[in-house]
Amino acid sequence: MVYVVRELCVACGKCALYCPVEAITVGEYAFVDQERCVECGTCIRAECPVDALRQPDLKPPRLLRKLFSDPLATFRETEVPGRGTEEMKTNDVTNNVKVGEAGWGVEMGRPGVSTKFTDVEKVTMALARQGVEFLDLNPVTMLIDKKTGMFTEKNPWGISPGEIRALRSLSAIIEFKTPKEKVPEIIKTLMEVSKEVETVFSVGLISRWKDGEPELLPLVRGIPGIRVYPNGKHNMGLGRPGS
Amino acid sequence: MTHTNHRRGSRESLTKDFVILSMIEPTSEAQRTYRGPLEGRVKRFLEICGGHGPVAITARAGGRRLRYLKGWTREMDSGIHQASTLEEVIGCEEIEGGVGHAVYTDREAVVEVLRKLREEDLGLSIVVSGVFEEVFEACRRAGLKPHTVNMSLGTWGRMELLPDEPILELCTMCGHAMISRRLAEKMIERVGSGALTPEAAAVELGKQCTCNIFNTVRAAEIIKRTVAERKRLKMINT
Repeated sequence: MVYVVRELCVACGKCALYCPVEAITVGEYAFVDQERCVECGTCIRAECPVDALRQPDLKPPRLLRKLFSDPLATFRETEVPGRGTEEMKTNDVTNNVKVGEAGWGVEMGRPGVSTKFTDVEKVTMALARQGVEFLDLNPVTMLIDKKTGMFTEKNPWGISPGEIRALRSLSAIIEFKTPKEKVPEIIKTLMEVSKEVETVFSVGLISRWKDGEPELLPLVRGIPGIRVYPNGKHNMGLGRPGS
Repeated sequence: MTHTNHRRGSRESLTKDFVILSMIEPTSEAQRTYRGPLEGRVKRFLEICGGHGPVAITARAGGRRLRYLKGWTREMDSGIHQASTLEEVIGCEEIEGGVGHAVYTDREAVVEVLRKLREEDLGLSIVVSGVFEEVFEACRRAGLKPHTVNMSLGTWGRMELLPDEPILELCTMCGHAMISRRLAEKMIERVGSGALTPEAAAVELGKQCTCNIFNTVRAAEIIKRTVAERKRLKMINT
């Protein structure tokens, strides 16, 4: 875990300024709150003027904070740097989200708030009750029982549900699919569970293009309280093989 | 990863913000070998993007990321944050993998890049982030239509934990949240006091975005607007 060598620290506050989760406070010297720290590496990259910050190699469960929070860390299991899968970026090749389906990305802790994993589990459990299909090769999916959404000890790191619940990360993306008919129900579920979490989450809805617009747009347009933001991501269909 | 999906701001501000990404599906051998070696095709992608005035462009090469960011000069380097020139990025011979990014402020540039990518048929999955109408129009003019779209339904939950809107606009230009709200506030404060230019402040923020998808031109505008607004409010209150 990141720590400060007190004998070297000159309390300039640079590390605290760059820390995205305000885990560093400065008095006589800088102090890292280990519960709040998500091991994102930003303070290290900010380059301490007296080289007083240290980040030793991490082991599970602490390592998972880094894997979920530092975009330069790579999940060995997915070989994807960052925190999720390739989402819709290669959907023109994989066809993972088909016409008639909805792809979802619920990004816990985003933007910049961070999330406890107890909140991640609240959301995965609520979604599991709706029978969603959690995506394999997603780091959150690797930590849960896909039927219940609860954390399980059957994960690649062999850590216990209790250890997972004690984690915090800058973000944790829950990725899943549903039939398009379930879209209103999933939105209702997310609205309900949003009142139970101690953080924020950002919601992305992946849709195939059909008849001159996103196929799912008419389904979400009229739902009270839901606003589709003016900007989004567009896969151009130029990947060719398998498309 | 959905790191360009939830950028915040007014429609007017977001209209000057496009990100073009290339990627391949790692398990697809067909895409890896489609029409020749992958590295050559990614290099061509970067050449095309580099020819249309990007604000930022990134190549992955030799175990590191080559990052060109408008306004970032070598004197501003710190730690692992090292600037590259546009020529270094597009002339790189050690490309690795299928990922490249470029950022633009201008729809016309996006139209030209897409038109060229369609003509050259590089077999790379291409994703464009931006305001829907702007991207749809760019697609139409380039002779393309989107295959799949990711719509942002916004942020839910404890909204009181979010910073003020201008800070959010700056910080969400790094989707991995590497830009702290304290740093964004500090940059606005330093521009307000005359200690930094908006452009230099934008670069300091952009350096933290290790994927290099930060739009320094748009950020400088947000900073200028925020400084002016805060000065106006201060005058009203005094």
